[in-house]
Amino acid sequence: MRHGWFTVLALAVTVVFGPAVMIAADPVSPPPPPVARDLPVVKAPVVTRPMQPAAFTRSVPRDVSDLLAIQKRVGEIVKDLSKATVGLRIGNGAGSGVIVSADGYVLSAAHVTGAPNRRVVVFLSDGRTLRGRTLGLNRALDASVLKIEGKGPFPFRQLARPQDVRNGDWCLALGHPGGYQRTRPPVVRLGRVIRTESGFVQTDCTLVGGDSGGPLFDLAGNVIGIHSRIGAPTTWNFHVPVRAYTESWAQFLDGKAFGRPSRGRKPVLGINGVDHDKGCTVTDVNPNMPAAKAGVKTGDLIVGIDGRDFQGFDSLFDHVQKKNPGDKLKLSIRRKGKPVEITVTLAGGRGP
Amino acid sequence: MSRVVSWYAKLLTVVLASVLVAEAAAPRRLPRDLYKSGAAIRNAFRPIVESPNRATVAVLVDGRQKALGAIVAADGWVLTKASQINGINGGAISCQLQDGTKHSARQVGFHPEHDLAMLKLDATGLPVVEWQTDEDPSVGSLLATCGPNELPVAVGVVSIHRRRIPHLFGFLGIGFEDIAGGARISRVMPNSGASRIGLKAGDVILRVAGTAIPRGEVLRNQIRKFRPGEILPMRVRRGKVEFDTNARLGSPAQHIQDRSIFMNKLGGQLSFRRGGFPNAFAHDTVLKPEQCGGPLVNLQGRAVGINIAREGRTESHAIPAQVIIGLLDDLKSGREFAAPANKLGSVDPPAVPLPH
Repeated sequence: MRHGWFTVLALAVTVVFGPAVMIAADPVSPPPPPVARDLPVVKAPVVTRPMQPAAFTRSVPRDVSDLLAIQKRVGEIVKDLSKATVGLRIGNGAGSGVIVSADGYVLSAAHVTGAPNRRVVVFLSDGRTLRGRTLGLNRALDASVLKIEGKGPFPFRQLARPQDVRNGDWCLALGHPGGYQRTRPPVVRLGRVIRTESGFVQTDCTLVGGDSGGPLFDLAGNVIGIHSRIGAPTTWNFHVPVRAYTESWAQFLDGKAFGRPSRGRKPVLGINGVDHDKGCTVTDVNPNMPAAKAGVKTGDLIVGIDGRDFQGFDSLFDHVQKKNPGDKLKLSIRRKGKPVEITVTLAGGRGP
Repeated sequence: MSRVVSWYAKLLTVVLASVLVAEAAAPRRLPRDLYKSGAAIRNAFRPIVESPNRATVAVLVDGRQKALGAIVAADGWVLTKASQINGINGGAISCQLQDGTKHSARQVGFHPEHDLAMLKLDATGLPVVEWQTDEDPSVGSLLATCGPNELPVAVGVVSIHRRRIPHLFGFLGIGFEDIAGGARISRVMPNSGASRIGLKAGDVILRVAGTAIPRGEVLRNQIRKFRPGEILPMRVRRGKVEFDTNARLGSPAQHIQDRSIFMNKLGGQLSFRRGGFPNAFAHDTVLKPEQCGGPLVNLQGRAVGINIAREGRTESHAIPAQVIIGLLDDLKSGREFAAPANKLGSVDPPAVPLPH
């Protein structure tokens, strides 16, 4: 906790159905022109995932021996994964990252590094504290790269091929939730890939502020994502997909800042909620968003959307995603036992 | 011309519509029961928890489940999380076993620092938890949280090896002195939440989170209700001007690590008492506060610890089996354990020198 008290923890919190709130670093100055440099690496360090044992790929572990096989593999790789995972301090911001080459290229999130050519303090899990500089970033996908100064060799893990990442993959999230702490190694979480989209990977590895920029690994020990943002349910953890890095590797190394966060295109309701047997319970209502304006309140139990039953917050989210900003949505609500009908006009905003 | 435009618009609409249909058709999300702690995955743990689940009870206060508990001796001894059952106005405690039988219970032992309570039921021949005491589970080991059912409550892995869990609360970054009607700031630490919003020495804090501040102690206690990273709303007077402002609290430094305050109140999705444990390892199992207090087992079905707190979104804490075993006899005897030392100084610690 030695350095912890002054840091701002970086993790964009997706206010579900609302605009992503970046709890990021100090105000970002306009990027200075990138420094000319030799580029020893021209392609992202990507490896093909080797054939995996059936115990890892079955949708449901068949018996205890499958669980033992998963546990054994995690035990074999977790030390190496930990060595490649770093804590970052950039200005007043804190985050995480992962070393992907022996000469010290590090993947992180755009909202952690903020701009090219900034000074970074890199905390390795062996206790070393090193200096680095941020390189390029893609603000649209929340991807960024930085370089540790010094020769190395540094402990690293390579990237998986984007096409190897599938729903149901077992995965490990490492990082520094709450910010880097000198006496605490990177924190390990197990989960599965729930969703793979062009813009993000979703898992049930729980993340929190300070994890941003940290790695998501498959059971082969390769990087399959970078922690980016979360929603209220513990299964809403979003990671930058590896394609964000592989497709633009040269631009990152050139120190380019590119991409613009999408705004105003996705339908937005403006609530957070948790699953309920009969639908979902509202845990937060975002002020000035459509749901708040229409009178949805914290604690409301939503039991129907547009006259139909649904189960869980994800179903509500999926239903909203099929609509457009400006569309109307009828919510059947139970408030303190009494039925309430509320019609909400969706706004436009940024989805996960 | 306008006809061409409208033709394009129609084409575009058709294209967009077909894209939407295609997107809706494919199943894009892993089914919920296949999530890490989904029903199908927990079902794979069924043979592992078969025996330890029988040694797990639901601890009820006035008939409502407040915690889980572990049966540690066949003649009716149950270990659980103390702060979950204490302070509910002396409500009647009972334990429900897997077979549905309910026994009334009384609290015999209490360890404030570990937050453990030992309950005694009038029962004999109960199934007992089997401990794994030779070593702690290594980081990445799979764990199941037992419950008085067929399946585990939830599953996860060890996240952090055992260590002292500090009592964390938010850090504003000021020193202050009492004056009439508020607390006057005497110093503001650089790079703190207070300095970032421009608070200055001489400013007087009048209200915090809606609570009036008649003296400094109230301010201190109000700030402690917030965790690092949370926003603290304040009303401040500077000279003759009063204004509202919000500070984001930082993390406290080492000074508070020995500190532990027992709170006998419940609340929220996190355990109310979730820090200040002298010895615990962290795991990533998502638990509710009322699912703490029971046994946590490895893939051999042996208890590696007792779940003691839901600490945050990413972490639950468990007291290792080794530590538990050493406490059992004293807890059964009803011996009084010293309450943790409460060394509270000023609200904030001295500034920590930075390496860079």
